[in-house]
Amino acid sequence: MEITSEEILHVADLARLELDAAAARSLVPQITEILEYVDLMQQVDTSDVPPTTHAISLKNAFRDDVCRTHLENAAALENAPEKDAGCFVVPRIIG
Amino acid sequence: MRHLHGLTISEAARLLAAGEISSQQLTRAVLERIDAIDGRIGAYITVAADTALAQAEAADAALAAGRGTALTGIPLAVKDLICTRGLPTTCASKILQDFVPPYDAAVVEKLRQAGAVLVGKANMDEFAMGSSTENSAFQITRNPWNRNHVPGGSSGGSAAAVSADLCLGALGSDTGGSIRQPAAHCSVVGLKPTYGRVSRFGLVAFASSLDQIGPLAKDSRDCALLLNAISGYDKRDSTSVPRDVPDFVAGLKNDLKGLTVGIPAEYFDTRGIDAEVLAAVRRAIGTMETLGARCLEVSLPHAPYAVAAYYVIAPS
Repeated sequence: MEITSEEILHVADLARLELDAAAARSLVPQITEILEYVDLMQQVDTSDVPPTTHAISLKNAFRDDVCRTHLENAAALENAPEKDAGCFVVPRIIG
Repeated sequence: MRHLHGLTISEAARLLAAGEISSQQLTRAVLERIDAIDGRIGAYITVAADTALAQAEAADAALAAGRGTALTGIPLAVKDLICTRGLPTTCASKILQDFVPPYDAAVVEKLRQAGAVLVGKANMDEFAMGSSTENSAFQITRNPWNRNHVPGGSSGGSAAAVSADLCLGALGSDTGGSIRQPAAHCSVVGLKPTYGRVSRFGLVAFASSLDQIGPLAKDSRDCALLLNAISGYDKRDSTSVPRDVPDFVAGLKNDLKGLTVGIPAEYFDTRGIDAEVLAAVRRAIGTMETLGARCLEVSLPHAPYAVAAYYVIAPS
């Protein structure tokens, strides 16, 4: 699997990472190497291997559906660079 | 008596219980050693001297009142991706350099409850992305045995701190070797608990389906003590396993009789192993056999795919 620097720039844009063309080009061999690992995995026959989500097969690990306070609002917002009306203020990412 | 900072957790606990030393003396000894040499090692990102001494004072009161546990008054380091309320938790990243968590990780809650003394936050590869601690955004950590060598990673600060007696034990985290490898590099004992044994609540994740917090210490008994303290089901971590925790200290024996150890043939492809390392591993296998273990050559045919699987799962 090969990747192009255009694809890298596109993914960087989606991740809101600033990357110039030169940086994108330099990442091509590095990311290609990681994608080669994916190719290697495709060689393995897993047709009778069930998907594994946990080493010890936990299922439906939910807690009781009961409201409780874990962290007070003020504590949760302690590290916020900007807050308003009990919420985090973040840069717009949609639209 | 030899230097207090050179004690193991077990030795210090005995002396504390007998009233022969105090946690304040022990903690001061560790803090003085940090002042004296951590400049040359770089194990700590944050040293919490004031709160540590206050915890030591409280520990001494608990010990005097007969309320001590195995870890009461023991100075420990915590890898900087484990949340500690009121103490910066940077993950060795400039992105989090001012982040002070408003809550403790489950393992930190347990250590506080046990009366342990939290000396400070240990250096690491940034967000655990690395295996040499060279990727920390703040400082490199040098191997105390030879400062031109890395301590390994990503729990390099934790391993170096234990190795250089800058704490009596430490917590690290391990995803693909990040406790075990630096422990080996710094000649201390470290282990990765079985996934689900230790709560990941309050651990900044690297690979959520692989990470575990675990102990680093000067010997196996100390590791068992720390593992006892941090293990256990936590309903705040949906991958935490609701199983009883055995007493890992009681499980320690002086021999390995009855244990069968598989030696995977695929790991011994000599093209990838340094000759000295191979000799050391063979000697260790010999030691296990002398101690009564049965060592059996086995085959793990998927071994060639292990790194690839890791590099796909871990970033996912």
